[in-house]
Amino acid sequence: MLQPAEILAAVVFLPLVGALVLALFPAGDHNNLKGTAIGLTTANFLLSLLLWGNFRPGPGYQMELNLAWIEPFGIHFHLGLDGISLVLVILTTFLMPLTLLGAWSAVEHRVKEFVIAMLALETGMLGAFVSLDLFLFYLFWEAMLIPMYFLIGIWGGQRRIYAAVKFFIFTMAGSLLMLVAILVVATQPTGGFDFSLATALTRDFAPQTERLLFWAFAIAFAIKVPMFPVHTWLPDAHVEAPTAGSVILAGVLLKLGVYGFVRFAFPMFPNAALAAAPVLGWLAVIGIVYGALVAWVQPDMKKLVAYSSVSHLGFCMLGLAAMTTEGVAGAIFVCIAHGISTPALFLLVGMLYERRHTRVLADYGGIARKVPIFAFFLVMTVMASAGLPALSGFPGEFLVLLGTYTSPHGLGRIWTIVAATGVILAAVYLLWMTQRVLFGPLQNPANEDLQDMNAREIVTLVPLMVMAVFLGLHPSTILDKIEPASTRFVQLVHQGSGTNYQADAGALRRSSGVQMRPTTPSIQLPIRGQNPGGPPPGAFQRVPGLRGLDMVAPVKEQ
Amino acid sequence: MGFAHPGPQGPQRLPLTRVDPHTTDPVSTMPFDFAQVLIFMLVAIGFVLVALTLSRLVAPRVLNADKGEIYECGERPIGDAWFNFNPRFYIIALVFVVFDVEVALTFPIAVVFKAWKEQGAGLIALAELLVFLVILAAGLAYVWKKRDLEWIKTVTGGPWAAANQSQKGPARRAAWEPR
Amino acid sequence: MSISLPALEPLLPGLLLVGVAILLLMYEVFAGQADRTYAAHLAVVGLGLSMFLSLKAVGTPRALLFGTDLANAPLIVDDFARVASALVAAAGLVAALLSPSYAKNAGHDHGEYYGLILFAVVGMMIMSMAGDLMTFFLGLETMSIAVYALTGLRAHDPRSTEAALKYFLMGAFATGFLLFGIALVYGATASVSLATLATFKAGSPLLTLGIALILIGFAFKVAAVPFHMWAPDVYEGAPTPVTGFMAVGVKAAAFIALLRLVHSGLGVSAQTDSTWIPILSALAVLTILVGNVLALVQQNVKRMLAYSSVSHAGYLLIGVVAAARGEASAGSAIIFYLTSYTFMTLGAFGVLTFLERKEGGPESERYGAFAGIGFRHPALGMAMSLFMVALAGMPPTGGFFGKLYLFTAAIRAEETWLALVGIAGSLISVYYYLRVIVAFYMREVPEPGPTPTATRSAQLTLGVALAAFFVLQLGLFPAPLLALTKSAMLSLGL
Repeated sequence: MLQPAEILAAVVFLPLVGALVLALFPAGDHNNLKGTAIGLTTANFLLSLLLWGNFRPGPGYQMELNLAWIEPFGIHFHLGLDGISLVLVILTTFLMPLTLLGAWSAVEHRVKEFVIAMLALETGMLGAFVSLDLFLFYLFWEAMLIPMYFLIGIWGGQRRIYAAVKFFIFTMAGSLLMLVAILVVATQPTGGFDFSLATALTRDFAPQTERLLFWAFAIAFAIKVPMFPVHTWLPDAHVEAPTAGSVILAGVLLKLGVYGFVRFAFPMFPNAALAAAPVLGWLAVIGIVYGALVAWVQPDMKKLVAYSSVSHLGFCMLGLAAMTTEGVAGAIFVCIAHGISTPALFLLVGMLYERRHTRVLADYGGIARKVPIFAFFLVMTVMASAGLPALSGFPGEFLVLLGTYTSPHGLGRIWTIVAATGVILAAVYLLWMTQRVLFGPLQNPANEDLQDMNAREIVTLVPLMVMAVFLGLHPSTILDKIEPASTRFVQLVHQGSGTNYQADAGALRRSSGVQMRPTTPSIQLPIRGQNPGGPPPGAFQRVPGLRGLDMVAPVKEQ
Repeated sequence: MGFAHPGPQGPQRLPLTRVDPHTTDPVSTMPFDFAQVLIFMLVAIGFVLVALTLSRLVAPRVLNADKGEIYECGERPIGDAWFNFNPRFYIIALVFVVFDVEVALTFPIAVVFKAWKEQGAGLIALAELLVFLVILAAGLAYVWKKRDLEWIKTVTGGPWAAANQSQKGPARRAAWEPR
Repeated sequence: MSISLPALEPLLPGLLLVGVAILLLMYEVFAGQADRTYAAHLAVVGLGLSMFLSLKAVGTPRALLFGTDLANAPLIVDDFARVASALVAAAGLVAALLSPSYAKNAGHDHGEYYGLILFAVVGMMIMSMAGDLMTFFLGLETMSIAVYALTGLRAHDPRSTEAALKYFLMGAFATGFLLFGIALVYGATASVSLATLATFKAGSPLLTLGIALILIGFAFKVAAVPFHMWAPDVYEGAPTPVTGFMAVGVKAAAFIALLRLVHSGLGVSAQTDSTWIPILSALAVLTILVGNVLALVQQNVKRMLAYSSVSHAGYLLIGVVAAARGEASAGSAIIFYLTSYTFMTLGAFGVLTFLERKEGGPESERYGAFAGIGFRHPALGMAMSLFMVALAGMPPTGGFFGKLYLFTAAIRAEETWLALVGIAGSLISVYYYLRVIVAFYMREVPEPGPTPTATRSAQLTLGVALAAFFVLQLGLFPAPLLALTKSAMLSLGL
């Protein structure tokens, strides 16, 4: 039996190996290629569930695999998971087979190249989520770019080349800035190199340097998220990308930006991060409202969903900027929820597009009667995306708003109020879209013989719907995994910057007035410069989590 | 080729032993050494200027067509100065280098050979010289076999051969002949 | 007199190549066959063996050859020279592999072709071993004359003839600068030996002028802005494998010689004279920006690669600045970068060689001519994508690690702003490298598309495959080469 660390490596590299194997397949046999790819990604998903099973609750990294790689540069092949990585890895492996299944009939030409690109992309994304070495992270981060570029550029729409190059150049611009920052961080004062994250976390820089380094990282990640002023590549990329590309882009790729802030930018440069938090918070709030307003007026469904992503990812960034456990855990939860609802939306839009070859809202209307199953799924997805309680969109946004409101820096309340309008606006534009597509009189004769969803499409969407409902009813399933890591993140930043903010998992219960369990605060965390490796295993006492949001009976305590 | 054949004054101009930079600093004395060159250059420039100015002042000026010719002595140039030289001249020049280089190395070795022999390195010097000559001989054999020692050469192969065949010229046609 | 035959052993890699080259020429004239593939094979075996011998000797003590006093020996065979020799031999090897089918197609299938490559490689080796400026000059000329001839091999093509003439005239011009610079340095110091030059401090205007002229000569050879004007025309006109060879070989040799100069000869002057760092920095910045911006607007892929090679010279100049600042890792970074640059550029030119059309001509080198190649020839498409991604400096390729190493050296030498300029240049370069991938994969394929693989051959395939392998290997497992570059720099006393 494989060791957990080896399972982790296997999960990351199985898709790449699969891609190499698929490269040997005959190019003409489309069904075989797609089927094998779906089988591979499903197997990878099942394998990644082993990670979930092996994961012990706690804030540190687990299942670490640390191999010497490029010794003269202090570069290690270092993989490892904490709760945040874990849920994002599962999200990735979960989405991948569904995406491939959803693209079964959409991608008819160059199928071999398509599945190879998708599988290579999966390895890139998974690797980036579990790298604990700056060099390795950068490698995966960039490697991910190339398959996505091909996905947009080859299988995209009319202006695909423009969109692909814009996507590439935007991301690359940020990445290169980050590269310089990584080099500065990795160059040790003693003269050697060390690219490991653990070492990077213990380093202190002059305030000016730290500010520059932080922004170099922050810009790279902000472009990926994307945050408000650097979001312009996203609508183009989404509109031109094939459905599968959009699904992965919205479902996983954007999360890498948020993840980068959590894993690297904030903890490595805590002073600068705290100083920059107001700016980031304002940009996030602007993004929320701006994205929602722009989404409202889009005539094109895909563009609408794209701008809704800008708005939703604004919540993630707001939660991080708030720098409270609730905010951070909420941000990650929004990532997961958005990673379920938005891919579903893109898949649904893609299904319509396959039938009618148009995404313009005005071309539809009243189709609910013709395609009742589609209508059901669309309404469900829209509800989940809009943050209706009992569906997956709600707990995350609620936690973010809560975390922002209780944020130690003074702007939290204003942000909460402005961001809350984003929630309302999300309901407005999503419901309006639903109404214009599904209901009203069926005026366009072209929609008369619209086919409803077939079995394959239903199979694609059902898992997403199940997850949307399950996470809405029982968010603690993943909040339990996220929360210790979020707490650790908040404390790392605050301790690193010298502000003695006590990250307190109980804050949620107190502020919401729900007394669930006695608080067990004060997690022992490494003090910067003293104990870089994190707390020794077992030293961590489990905090009972953010159970206040569970809609069904709390699970039994161990 | 100039420095390969040092003239009789050559060795005397330069000190045989290198100036030790640690004891005497040539950088500081160098400008004085260079002053000789400078004076030489100034004299040269001055000489030219004086000669030209003087001739301009005192020489009679008779302007006619013959004075405008390239060779004032009366030789009329034939044709344009811009015409294609036969590339074979260059090849001959290259072949000449083979022999020129041969002399350049053989002669100095011949001069010191006796001294080397007394040091017991005579055989090595001989072998070295032989290797050198064999390499040069290989070059000679190459150009010989390529028929570059003949002035008239038939071109076989390559684009020119095709061009030659397409024209109505004689089968054996020199590459350099004007078309 | 310390002349004895065993002393020549350190020169074996070079002597072997000379021997093979002479053998090739003799065989060509006395027993030549119409098909010169045998010559390519012989050259490849010779270069491979030479490379092996060079690498095998790494770690052995350095050898000083031919000097009347050893401190000023004209030839220094140390690990630095050995690693550099192996590098240029590798460049020659891949170039020789790329050549046979191209030469047949372009009608210049001469046995002398491979002889010239071998002589050029020998010249490059001498440059890397040069212990004094005259030896260096000798190596430079040996290399240059061979490459001039190689450039003009497609004699019936006006572009090739123009390229050869331009390269020759510009090269002669550069040589003039270099020689005059050497003369002035000699005038100032009464020595051409690098070891002796290292004992001189800056201050003499004559020395400064001499070094400046030598640097200008170098700048011509590596096509640094503003001495780059010849590069695009020459790269476009030369036979494609030769373009690859001169883009990497000449550049590598020049930078390696410059490195030795900076570290053991003129470096002291460079460090004590405050004017050098700004001048070299300006040269680097100009080269990066101009090279990249001009590459952006090219419509011909070969010309684009020419300008891109100009910009790569700029990145390498950043390393030279760091080296001149005394940063020990800079030299190592330059050698690493040169190695990965060698493989990715030769690989790219190899793919272009593959796609050369029977009729040739500039039309077949435009971006549009490559529409849909990525699907018609999947392996070629993947290889070209890999090389472009590597040239753009993205992981997981040697191009990325090379840039990383180079920029790290710049940061350590406290020239972070130069690293940032390099990064900005890389960002610009992403656009035009992507254009090649766009052409290969994303443009509409004309129907019926031409099949531009007139020059398929096993050797060519092997050459491209080797290049691709090393580009990946250097990106993922750079440690062996890092060890080599380290021992190379150690032998220079760093």
